[in-house]
Amino acid sequence: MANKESGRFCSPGWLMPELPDRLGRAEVHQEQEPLVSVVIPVYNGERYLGEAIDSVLRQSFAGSEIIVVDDGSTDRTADVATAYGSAVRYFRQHQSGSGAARNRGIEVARGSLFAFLDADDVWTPNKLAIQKSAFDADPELELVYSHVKQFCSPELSEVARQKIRCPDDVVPGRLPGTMLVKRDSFLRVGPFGVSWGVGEGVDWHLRATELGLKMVLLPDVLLWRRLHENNLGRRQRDARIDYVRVFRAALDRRRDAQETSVETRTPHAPGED
Amino acid sequence: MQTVEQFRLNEPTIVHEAVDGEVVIINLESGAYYSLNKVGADVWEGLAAGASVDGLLRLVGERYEASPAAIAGEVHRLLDVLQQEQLIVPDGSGAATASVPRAAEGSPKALFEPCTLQKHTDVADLLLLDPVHDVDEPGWPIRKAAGSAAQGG
Repeated sequence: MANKESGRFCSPGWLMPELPDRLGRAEVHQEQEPLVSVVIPVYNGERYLGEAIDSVLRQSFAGSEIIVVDDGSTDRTADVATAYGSAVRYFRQHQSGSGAARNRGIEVARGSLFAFLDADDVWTPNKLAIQKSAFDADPELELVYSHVKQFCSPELSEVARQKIRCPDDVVPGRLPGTMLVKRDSFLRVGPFGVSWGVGEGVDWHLRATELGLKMVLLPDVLLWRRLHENNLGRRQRDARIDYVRVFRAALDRRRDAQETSVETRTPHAPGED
Repeated sequence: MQTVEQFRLNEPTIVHEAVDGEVVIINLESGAYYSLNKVGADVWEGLAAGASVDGLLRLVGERYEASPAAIAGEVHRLLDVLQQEQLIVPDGSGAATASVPRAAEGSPKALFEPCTLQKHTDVADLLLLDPVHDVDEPGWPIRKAAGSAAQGG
């Protein structure tokens, strides 16, 4: 009897990435811990999606649900996601962009905290736990970002590596992939923009800042960002102009806000911090 | 001291677009973004069309009511700032276009006002993280590395 009892599942997640009862466990924890909805938008991400999902399943913080939103993939993305069984809630939509895919995830999210992870990136195992403790330390905090480390995807050839700029320093990551945000705060800012091919994270961040969301950027590196040959931004390189439009929209919104101006009469040293 | 006869937009390091008389420009190497309007937007339009500095002065003179000296002073100041911010670079190709954009025939001249280049660096770190920066194929900005030299010549 005692042996039987000790055989019950209680292993930490990282020993068994494919937890069939992940959602069940999350619900059990809900009374003490808030549920975190982790939204993973993916388009043709069969190659890396499993690593992304595993990095959520390996979190030391147990209370999360994983929502994969497949943005019309034509590869084996669906197979990868559904192989996790009930540990992953899988949704599929016609291709409408990563902003729309993130929003779809939010529509079905049950958590009181939202997080996002791109299908080619990975979290460190303590990501949610560290960010959750930031919320515990300051109940008024609404959003927590972290730092990011970028890495060249291991399969990249030497030639490809030379083409990709892979700065190995730790950088601030005010990105969806590092974000942990309270549900009500997220909804106050509103959904991600869907008119941009790139830059919906920048746009959302600007809107959150304009609304005065109480946010903090943790010094910890909680996201590893994969650089590979098919980065979204590379596929849609012509979409760079979308950044200009993101900024134009921000300027229109805060036309009267205080701005740093470079007076034409005053010589200004470029690059000054 | 302004002795350069011609500038060109610092593409592909910058991305820009003009809408309704306002130009928004991003410097992808610094992550800063800028806005320009009024005379500034006209000068930018001229630069984008390949106008020489003289061509820019003519262009502004056709559109604004001001003395040539006032226009020259303002245009040169603006070019200095744009160059400091590395949004434009001297162009020695000698390829000034004759077909500078012109004001519509008989259109009234606008009131001449000094213009300001608005600079924003609030999300520079974010912009630099975007994967569009990860590529250094031809036509893409390459972050300056120690010892890198300009190609060609």
